[in-house]
Amino acid sequence: MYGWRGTILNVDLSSGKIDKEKLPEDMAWDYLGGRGFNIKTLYEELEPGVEPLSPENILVFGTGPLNGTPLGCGRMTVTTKSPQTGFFVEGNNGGFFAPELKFAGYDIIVIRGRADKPVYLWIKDEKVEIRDASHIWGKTTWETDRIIKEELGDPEIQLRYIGPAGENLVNISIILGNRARAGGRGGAAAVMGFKNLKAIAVRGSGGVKIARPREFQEALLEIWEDLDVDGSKDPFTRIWGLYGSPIVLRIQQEYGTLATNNGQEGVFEKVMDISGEEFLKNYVVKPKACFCCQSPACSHWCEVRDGPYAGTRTEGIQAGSTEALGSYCGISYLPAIIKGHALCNELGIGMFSTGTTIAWAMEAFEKGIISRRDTDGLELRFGNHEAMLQLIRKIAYRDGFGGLLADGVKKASERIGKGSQDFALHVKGLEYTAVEPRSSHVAALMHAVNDQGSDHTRAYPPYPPSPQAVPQEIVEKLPFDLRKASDDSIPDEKGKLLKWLFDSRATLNCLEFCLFNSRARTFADFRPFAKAITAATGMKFSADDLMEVGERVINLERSFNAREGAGRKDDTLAKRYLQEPFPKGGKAGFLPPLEELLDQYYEARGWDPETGVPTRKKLEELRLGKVADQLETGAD
Amino acid sequence: MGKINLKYIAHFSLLTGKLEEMVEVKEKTAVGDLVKRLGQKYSGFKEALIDEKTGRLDSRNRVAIRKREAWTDNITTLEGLNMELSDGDTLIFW
Repeated sequence: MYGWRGTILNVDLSSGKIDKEKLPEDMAWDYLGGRGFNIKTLYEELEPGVEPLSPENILVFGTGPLNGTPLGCGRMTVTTKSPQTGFFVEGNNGGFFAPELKFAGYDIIVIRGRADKPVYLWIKDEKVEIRDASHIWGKTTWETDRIIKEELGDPEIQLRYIGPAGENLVNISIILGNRARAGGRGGAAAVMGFKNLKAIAVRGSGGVKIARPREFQEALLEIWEDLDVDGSKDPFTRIWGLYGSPIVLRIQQEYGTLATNNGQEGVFEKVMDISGEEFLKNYVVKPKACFCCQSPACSHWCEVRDGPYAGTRTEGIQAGSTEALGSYCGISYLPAIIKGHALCNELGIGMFSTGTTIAWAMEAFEKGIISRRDTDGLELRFGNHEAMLQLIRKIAYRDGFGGLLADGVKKASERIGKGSQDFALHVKGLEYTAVEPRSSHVAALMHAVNDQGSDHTRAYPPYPPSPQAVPQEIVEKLPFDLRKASDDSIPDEKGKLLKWLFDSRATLNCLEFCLFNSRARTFADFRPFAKAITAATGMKFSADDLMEVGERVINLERSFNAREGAGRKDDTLAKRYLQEPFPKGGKAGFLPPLEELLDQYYEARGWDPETGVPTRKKLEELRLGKVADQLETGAD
Repeated sequence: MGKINLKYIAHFSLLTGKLEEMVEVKEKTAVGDLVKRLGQKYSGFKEALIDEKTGRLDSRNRVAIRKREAWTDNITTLEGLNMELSDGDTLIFW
């Protein structure tokens, strides 16, 4: 095959059996790669009701047809059934693992079963082996990175691994690679820990064959030109490259949507202390990029040089860190946030879930719902960064009060009770991430209907394209009224807008193209992608074909959850988001009319408005007739 | 006379060397007038904001205004630059 390597790697940790199978061409056509491959595999392989922490659950690591080409970035997707939510969960992360896996000859790894002792998987081109990992069990992610590279004698080996949190089956754990590229919220790392799989190491010496190199180069240059710092017509291209996403904090502050003190407010008085400008000026050492990143190289290597956290060195700080470990927890001391970020990465827990869960505990403490007797003596007030850092460690090791938080904010609040569920910020059991639901109609809808729970990345960026940045012929063909969709004072057209955002971003996740690079024209114009994928694979895709893949994936994801009993009742928001407007700032008083927005969204999707489940008609349109049969009969 | 709060985010903080400042404007000053004034004060400021060919706001930047009593949408068009400023307004550049 061109573009794809054409091979699925199957690993059964229970039996130790390893085999390779051919990637079916119709799967490549219908799902493209990454996120699409993964949900298809998960849907077809898992029986409804499978216990997430059981040998029957599987982990799928999927790459896309562009990985390993200069257009491919370093993105990949890991998907499993979540021990935190009971639904599917997937993490999309960057770095260098995905292209390396392609170079080794594989598009997908499917991990089944459970090893009887700690192991890691070592893939070197055609040679694949399961190796003992007893000596690495208990080590941090950074230690694991170093030990395996030393052991295998190659610093260029690419890895995905878990930290102590995954080993301890912490729900809010995540899988990392390249020491800072994290993904798999909802406990993908706990599934890996349950399987006794500490890491996957890969090294490849092959390449990715391109069907029509000259055409591919033309498409590549077209996309790169659009992303170029001087050529781009998007407001984020320049600032993303220089500052990374921490720059958005002051923008959110001005709009009054910077979640503060567990979302009680939308304005953080000390925002300047944790701003992108402060971060760049005093802590950034150098920018860091994923594989073949044309722009923006949004990650940074940073260092704390003085104060109580002097000597902290870490990488990958994004707005997620400065918000979740900063304003959500009322913390304005940036060195402590950097230290917290480093700890989360090294111990293998997710920044957003950790920050949101600790912020909930802080509010419960301040309201007198819990006391120092519950918190192992910690004075859990907003702004107490020493307490936050101690809690991060406790969560990763399930130590004392940390053990309660390790299962995530929904379960923690249910155990504590006393009204604390009202301010536990999650969707479908997965903690709030970013882009406040009270910041816009589409943001509220985006979080509520997201199938894996709260997540701002699946509709990123969550606003309509700018007519100035997108060709007129594309603007005219957009499946919504751009003027109304752009007007956030009214709910009109937001269902159609979100459908379009979700479908197009799902397609990019299947290609495994970086969403941070979906800017300006590439935000909305998929013709260059169609050209690139056609040239890369030799299979003719139109822009409409690509959008259909995204829609198919979204429908299959929803069907996976529907099979587990999910529906409209789960498409909701935390009580705070529906009943407590921000008291001040640009969005003071705004509450999203969620039921109206849900109706709009289901109508745009062609889903049953009562249940929020895809209809047979829609599924058959997308060549998912068998899925319709299963949903109707419950048959496997 | 009125006082206008200016907030510079990202590259505008690098262009001006400031994160924010307060300036005084005469009555009936439009946003475009103030941008012109800032262009004289800070090298490259006006060029960064206005598309030379069209005279419109460059799509690579945003100017937002917060009126003293109410929030308004971003100014993204030339018409937006015509908006009159009032005492206590905040302009945000990013």
